[in-house]
Amino acid sequence: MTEQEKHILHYSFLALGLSVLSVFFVLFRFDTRAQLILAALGSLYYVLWGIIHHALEKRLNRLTIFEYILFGALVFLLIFSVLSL
Amino acid sequence: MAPLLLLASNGAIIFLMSKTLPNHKEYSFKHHFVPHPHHKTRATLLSHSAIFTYLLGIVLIFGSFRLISKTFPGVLGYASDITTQDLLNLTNQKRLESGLTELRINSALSSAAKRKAEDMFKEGYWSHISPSGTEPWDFILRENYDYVYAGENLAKNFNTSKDVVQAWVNSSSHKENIMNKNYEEIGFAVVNGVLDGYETTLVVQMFGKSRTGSYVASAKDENKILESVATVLEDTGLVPDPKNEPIQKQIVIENPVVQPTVDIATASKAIGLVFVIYIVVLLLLDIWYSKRHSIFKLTGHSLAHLSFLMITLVGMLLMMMPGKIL
Repeated sequence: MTEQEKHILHYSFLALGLSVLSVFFVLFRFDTRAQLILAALGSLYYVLWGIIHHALEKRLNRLTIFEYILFGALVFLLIFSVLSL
Repeated sequence: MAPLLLLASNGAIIFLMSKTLPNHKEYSFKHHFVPHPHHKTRATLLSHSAIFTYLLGIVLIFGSFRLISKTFPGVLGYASDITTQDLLNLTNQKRLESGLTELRINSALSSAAKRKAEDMFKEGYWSHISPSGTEPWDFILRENYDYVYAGENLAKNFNTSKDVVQAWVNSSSHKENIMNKNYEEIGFAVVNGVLDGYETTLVVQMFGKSRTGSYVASAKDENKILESVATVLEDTGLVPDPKNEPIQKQIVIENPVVQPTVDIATASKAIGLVFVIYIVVLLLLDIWYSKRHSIFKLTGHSLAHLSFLMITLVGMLLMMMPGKIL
């Protein structure tokens, strides 16, 4: 498998996971609590995807992990803030 | 002309005079928005410290929103443009369009609707039947409304009366209630409160045909009922005993709902949306500039971040959609 194919495969997993969560987000659009759980799951999935992806690419370092955690936290905090007001 | 010192492999220092070589290490204003080609870093507005600052900013902004809404509810608070008068007019308009007669507002039905809304907040449910098994008809009968036919429509978290009625009309089962020729009277309640820990606006619509005839005798009474049914849950007092009080007195004129200058829900969603768009634009710039200048950064993938943010953007737009009916 070429690097590009690996890259596509990894991104497919990201797209699939986020798409599934988005579908549930739509289904539970009137249930704030469920949406918060989905947002938390989405953020967690994203952080894990980032770590696994960079580890497989042998480019994982502390700063990269920190970056994914920051982005995951940013999105979750934003959704949490908007939903809870 | 800028002097340039180079360290040769044998340790000798080579001194050069150059007019052309720029100082690559310096950050300029544009590096707030685009990656630095020499440092191989993201734009400073996307740096770790910047994102950490955004996190703190979000906590501060939304925290202050909560504080302001509690301290100055007239400035920043929960606003909904739902009035019982509009609900009545729009409901009757739909009936007239279908060749049906107008429904008359009824104090007992409005009171029952209000008690139902309050019960949902108190017991923490969103359903026609309460967890303890109380049915809509129980609320109606408690108001001494002896019905031949009765019905109930519910809505929550809508912003306008028009959206509420339109959502009901779009649903066949709710439309059936609105267009039911057996009904002669109607009652409404628009109540704000906290349901499942979240600020919620509940709308209860109750229909009926009384066995004994209408309680409303004049337009003046009708206006009085319409004024009284929009309320904030905090205003709720004890439920009057229907056996001891005449029906008309069961509806108490409540303090008017404070309409704030800025609606907190709309403001928070708008801020969230603008912020996500801002990050998306920065990431797009990052991808474009890195490709154009062949900058290979030792960071996470901007494309991955962008995908994640785009999904979030869709979610934010979804959160702006109006509420739910039951």
